[in-house]
Amino acid sequence: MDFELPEEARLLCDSVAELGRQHIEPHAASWDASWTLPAELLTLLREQGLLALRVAEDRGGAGLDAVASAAVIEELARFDASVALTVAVHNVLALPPDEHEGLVGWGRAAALNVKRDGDTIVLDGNCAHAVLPNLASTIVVVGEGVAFAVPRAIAGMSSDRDETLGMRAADLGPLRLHAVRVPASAELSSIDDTALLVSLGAIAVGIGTAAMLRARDYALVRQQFGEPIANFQAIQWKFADFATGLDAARLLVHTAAARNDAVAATRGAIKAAEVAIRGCSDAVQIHGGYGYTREYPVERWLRDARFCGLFANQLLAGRERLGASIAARYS
Amino acid sequence: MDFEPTAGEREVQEAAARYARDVLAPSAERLDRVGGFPHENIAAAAQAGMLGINVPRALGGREAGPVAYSLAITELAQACAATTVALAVNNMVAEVVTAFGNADQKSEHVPKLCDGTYRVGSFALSEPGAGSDPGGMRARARRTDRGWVIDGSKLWITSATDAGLFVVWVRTSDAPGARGISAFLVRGDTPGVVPGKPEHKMGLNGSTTTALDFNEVEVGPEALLDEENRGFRIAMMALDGGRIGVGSQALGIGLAATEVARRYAVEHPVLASSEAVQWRLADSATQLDAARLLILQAAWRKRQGIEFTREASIAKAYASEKAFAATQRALEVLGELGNTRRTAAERHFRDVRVTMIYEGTSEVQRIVLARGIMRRFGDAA
Repeated sequence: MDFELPEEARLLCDSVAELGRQHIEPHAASWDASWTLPAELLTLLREQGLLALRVAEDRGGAGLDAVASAAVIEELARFDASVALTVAVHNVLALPPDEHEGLVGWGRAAALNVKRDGDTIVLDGNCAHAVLPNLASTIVVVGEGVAFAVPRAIAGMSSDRDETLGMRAADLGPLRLHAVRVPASAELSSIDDTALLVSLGAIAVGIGTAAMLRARDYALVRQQFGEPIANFQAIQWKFADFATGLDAARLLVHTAAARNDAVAATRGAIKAAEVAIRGCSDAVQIHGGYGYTREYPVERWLRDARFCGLFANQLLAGRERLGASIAARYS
Repeated sequence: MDFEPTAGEREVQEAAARYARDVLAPSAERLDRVGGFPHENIAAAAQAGMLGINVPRALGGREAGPVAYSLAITELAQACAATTVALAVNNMVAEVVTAFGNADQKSEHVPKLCDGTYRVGSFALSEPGAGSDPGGMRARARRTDRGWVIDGSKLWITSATDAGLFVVWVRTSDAPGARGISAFLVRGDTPGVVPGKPEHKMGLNGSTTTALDFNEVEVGPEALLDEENRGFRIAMMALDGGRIGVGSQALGIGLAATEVARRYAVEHPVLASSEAVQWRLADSATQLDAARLLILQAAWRKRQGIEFTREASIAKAYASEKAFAATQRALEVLGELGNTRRTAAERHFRDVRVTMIYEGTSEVQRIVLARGIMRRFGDAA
């Protein structure tokens, strides 16, 4: 057993924190309000190795394992969840940065029609809630038991931008495939959602951690009834519950990452989202009227956390998978 | 026991439902996007009789009572929670002047609050350092030969951008805490009354919330509401009634979100037949019904002239929290669609969150409730 991150992962987390404080946190509110991330940010992320987390170092990547990768995503989410989601989705494919310029997007089609015609595959379907459908150069299109890496610029593919409750700076929206023809080599051998689930859990933990620290700082200075509100038990208990939940969620997420286990990842993603939603709502409450305004980040974090919950829970039919797995085995 | 509203109360509820359907619903989404004060909705509210529901007819109100008021607010909030808060505060101000004003103040102000002359009334109590603890307020009024001069800053003032009349609380003596506070009636066009820029909020975007500065504002002696230094109890009594309004508003938002989810589930049999969806709807229905009964209990006691502070606190805390939970369940039923603005549930989630904060946070309600429970609990209460 070892609950410590390896040295190189900690160093990368520190540099992510530095990047976050300098280049992300000051702009997160305006990116949320303008529904966009600046192109320059991608350059910064690339330079830090964040767009090739799982790629080996000799191929230009950061060479992280799954746990370290989750820790980095969590760190990023403390500054901006939309950025963390963008990075997490891009890293679903471990592409060497020298061989691949653009971003990787992701979409799940409810009823993907796959027709195999010799060396060509014809895809028809609708990904109602894709990530990076407009900005990515390659999209991982997931169907029932199959997945394909499809160039975004291909004929027959179209997409839109949705207005969302949370993660507003991330490019989110529907993606349609109409008679899209790809070579057989576009089919991916692995279609595991585990990495994405782990990342979602890590993002929720990151959002929650940011919200807890901000609410704590506020509670220590906000005076009502002649003393800091941090002195009141009603406020203290919120922090105790939040901190406990975040620790538990992080352990679930990291365990799932270490084992590369989809069921464990589902548990982690569900728990992390629940903890973050509840905790971010408490963080809003602790801020009182200020918490409801967009001048403070806690309302954005609540929306972002809520987004994680819906994304994880519904898209991946999380609890049903969990229920089926508990029926099959529990250890 | 009788859980049915009277015919008159029902009539007001139906009028509110018509106004909500015809006026509020069509503009709610646009208002949420563009923000600002809902001028057209407010103008139409006077016609619909929504500005003075629990105010005597002699003063231009509808005289329909607190139960009718609660039922109406719930109807309005189902369509547009943002307009509802402006209307609810107007009703509260009209009731305050009716309850505490002298004959001149009542005849001067209440008809103008009820017929839209003032557009809306506004309630100015909170300050940057005085939220949950209004006794910590710093704004002051000092006596002069011609009346009073008011100086200070208020915060979180609903409709301050457009209100024709403010009821404002300030210190009029050096007594600490809640003592030495007086209430004043100040017209919105009085020189020195300066609203700040509207706050950008998580929700309720179709209502304005701003800071409000009183810069050496001169008012006559007739501006003082009730007795000097006895204003704090006016605020507390107004908030008792206000909490019925906030609870009713939260209930309306929770019902609207649940209805969005229910309709979506019915259209998608795989959802309607899933226990994960069924149980969520069952829980929301249970909790929203309980909230409705708690709110109506408080409103009924107010109607009967029975003490209702405790009941209003319970109703407000419970309804706001359960309505928030109901909007979350609605999003969960919608799944990823809930993350988008393609249904109104997304707006309902953002709108309802503030009901756990304004007019007394859930924490303040529990402090007040616990204090009462320590003294007495049960039938003797």
